[in-house]
Parts: sequence; C-alpha cells; structure tokens
Amino acid sequence: MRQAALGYPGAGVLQGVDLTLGTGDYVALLGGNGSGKTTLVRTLLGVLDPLSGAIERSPALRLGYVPQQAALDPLFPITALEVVELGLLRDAGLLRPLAAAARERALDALARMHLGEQRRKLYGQLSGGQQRRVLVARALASDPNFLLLDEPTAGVDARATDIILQALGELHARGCGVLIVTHLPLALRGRANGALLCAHGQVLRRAPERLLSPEGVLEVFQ
Amino acid sequence: MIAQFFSDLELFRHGFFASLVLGAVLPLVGTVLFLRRSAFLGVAVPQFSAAGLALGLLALPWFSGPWAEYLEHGHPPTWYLFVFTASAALAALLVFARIEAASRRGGSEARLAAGFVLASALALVFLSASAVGPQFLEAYLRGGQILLVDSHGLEIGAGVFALVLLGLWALRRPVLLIAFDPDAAVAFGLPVARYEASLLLLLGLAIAGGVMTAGPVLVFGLLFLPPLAARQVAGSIPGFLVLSVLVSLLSVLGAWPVSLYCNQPYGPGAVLLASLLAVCSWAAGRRRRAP
Repeated sequence: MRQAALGYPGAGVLQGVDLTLGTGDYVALLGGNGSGKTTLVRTLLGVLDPLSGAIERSPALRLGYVPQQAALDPLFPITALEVVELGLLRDAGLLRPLAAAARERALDALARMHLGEQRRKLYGQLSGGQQRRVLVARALASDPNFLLLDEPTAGVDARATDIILQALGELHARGCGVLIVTHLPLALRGRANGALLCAHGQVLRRAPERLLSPEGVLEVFQ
Repeated sequence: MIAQFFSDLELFRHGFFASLVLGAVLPLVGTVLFLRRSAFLGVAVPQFSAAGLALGLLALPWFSGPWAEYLEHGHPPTWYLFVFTASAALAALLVFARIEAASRRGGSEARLAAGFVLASALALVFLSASAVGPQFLEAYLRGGQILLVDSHGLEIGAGVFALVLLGLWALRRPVLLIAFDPDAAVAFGLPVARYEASLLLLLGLAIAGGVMTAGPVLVFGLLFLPPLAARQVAGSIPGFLVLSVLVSLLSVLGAWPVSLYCNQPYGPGAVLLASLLAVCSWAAGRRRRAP
C-alpha cells in the first residue's frame, strides 16, 4: 500500500498509508474506536477501494478473513460445519460436490478450535466465543497464505483466546502472514513480530515489544 | 369424493400444474431474499412486475401482432406480457440494488415501501387507462387467474422456472457465502459483482414469471410466507429450503379445494393457508426454544 488515502467517498479516515505486509509477518493492529482499523482491514480485503494512492497484491495471495462477529446475522439458519465449509468455496467448482479431502479439512479446522462436537449446532445457538472460533475455523479451512482477523478475541474467555492464538501461531509458523485487529495487545506479546497503531488519521509502525506492553496500551487509548 | 375432486380439477389441469411449479420454485427464491435480509424486495418487486404487466396491456393497441392475437383469442400472447413483467421486475431490482449499495446509513426498507406504493398506483393508473385493462383487473391484480392458465402459458412458465431453478442450484454456494458474509466472499476472490448480477437476473425472471402466471398476491405470499414459516424451525440450510418448499406446496395444494368448492379466489386462499402454517410454525418454534 503506497501513499494511500482510505475511507468512504466524502469521508476519508486514514491518510498517507505506506504499508508492506508479507507471509513472514504477524502484525497486531491497534487503535481506539473509530480510528480506522476496520477501514484498513476492509481495504486490504478489497471491499473498499483506496480514495487515492495504490495497493498492489501478489498474484499468489490467498486471503483468509475473520470478520467482526457483529457484522453477521445471528439468526442465519446455518450450522457450524456449514459456516466452515464456506471457507472451501475458493477451491470448489460451482457444480461439483465438495471433495472428501476438503470436507475433511473443514472438520479438522473445527476440531482444532475444539468445536468438533458442535458441528451440527446452529451458528446462532453457539455462544459468542464459540461463534468466533467457528469463524477462525472457516479461515483455517480456506487454506490462506495471509490471514486478516478483525477482533477475533473480543468478548472471548481466556481459554478460547488461547485456542485461537495458538492456532494462529501454528499457522504463522507454517508460512502464513497474520494481521490481527485487537483490543487485547498484552495477549499478543511474544507472539506478534510487528505492531501498527491507527491514530490521528494515520497508520504508525511501532516496535511490538513497546506497543504490546502496559505502557503501549496507554499510548493506544490516549 | 376424492375422485370427484380430481374430476373437477381436470378442467383446470394446466393451472394445477402451474401452481405446483410456482409452489416449488418461488419459496426457494424467497429463501434467497430472506438470507440476504431483503425479504421486503419480495413485496415491492412483484408489484413493479404487475405495473409492467399493466403497462403492457395499456400499450397493447400499439403492437399490431399482439393486438391482433388479443382480438382473435381474447388475451394477448404470453411472451408479450412476459417481456413487460420481466423488464419491470429487472429494472426494479437494479434500482433497489443500487439504492441499497449507496445507502450506508440504512433506510432502504422505507424506500422499498415507497416503491411498493408507487408501483401499486402505477398499475392501477395503467389499467384504468388501458382499453383492455378493466377486463384484466380482477384476474391479474386480485390473484385468481392461475385457474385460467392454458397449455402455452404453462410451457413458458415451466421453462422460465426450470431456468431459475437450474441457476439457483448452480449459484447456491456463492449465494450462501455472499448472503452470510459478503466481505469474506471478496476476500476469497469470488467475482461477487458477476454473481450478484446473475442472481438479480434469476430473481427478476422468477418474479416476472410468477406475476404473469398467478398475479402479485400469490407471488408475495409464496416468496415471503414459506421461508418465514421455515425459519422458525429449520436446523440447517438444507432443512430451511426443504421446509420452505413443503409449506408452499401444502398451501398451493390446499387452496384448490377451497377455490373450487367455496368459490373463493385461488391466490388469496393459498396465501391464507401459508399464513396459517407460518403461525403454527412460529408457535412450534417458540415452544422448542422455551427453556
């Protein structure tokens, strides 16, 4: 991303964004409410076009995505396994049934999130923490080489947070880049190798050991 | 008694088969609208399609071929009316899709409601200004004309709905992902705009085919009520689809004896039955969810 202005027509949010992300990165993205974190993520996804500047994506890029839970319809009549199978869509043809190996990948992703037994439950009947783990399982099943997560641990208990962060660590170790929006910077200490701060309409790069610390938390919310 | 029913039905066999086709396909279209949280489109777009049909009747004397066929047989050719209903449905879908995309602050329900009122008024104005309109007012806008479907109308309707069914089946996976999480569909690199355009085309064809065959009242009912009923009790996406179709088929089948023996218009009868099933399903769902 070079000298990019991000936001909505008539409502710019971030200016002059220079950012390079790769498969070796495990980056925490922090910032107060309304600072532009979700705008940055949605632009990286390709949902929003930059207002100016340029974005280049590698042709080999395979994005995975975990949205904010509030963006989804809790009454959608879909089971946990069906949600995860949506992650297989990139490699599935329109007309062919899903391959057995792909289905296996979906079940394995759910099992890694400790939700194997909940696979037939309706997504809307799961707890908030379980719903987030289902979305992480969907991202894992999509076999990404770069994963964007928008507050995957918000409102999640300590055990579920550990399960999610452990899976992200394993994914990163296998060569998948990670960018995670979080309000829990301390949980990423020692895991993330990069940190970004959205503040004052800019994206600022910070040393992770500084930003993901109690002092760093103060900087984020000041 | 059953033999007598089927004997009486023989007169309306084309309408009977048309009701089965509509009953099987329209609730599937409705489930797509429901999953996309656009159920109100199922009310506004058929009304625009009906306004298109009324415009077709108004313009009938200007087209010599269809006008000659009307004078000879008492009704215009099916293809002629389909062009008007489908064009109006597609135009309405495109306009509403643009409004929805442009309105980040919501409020699209109010615009749909305004569109519904506008389309209703246009339909009545076109019909009253048309030389042949008053004759069609009862049949096309009050929803009883499925009884009058002939073999030609049934063939065209079945062809359109077979195309819609095939298209929905082919697009089922991307449609589901785009409805549930459109941002993820973009992230996974799916051609979202192309899928959306294909889906709008299928929705427009289905609604136009339904309005032309059965009138807007039955189309509203079959798009909206079966998915509403199914959603209360469905435990998965396949369950949601199957239950929607089941509720719809029960409604369209049950409306036949009501229409034949109680001398009631067919469309409203089917809609009332679907409403009754929706209420039962709501009660069952409430009971199931109770602690």
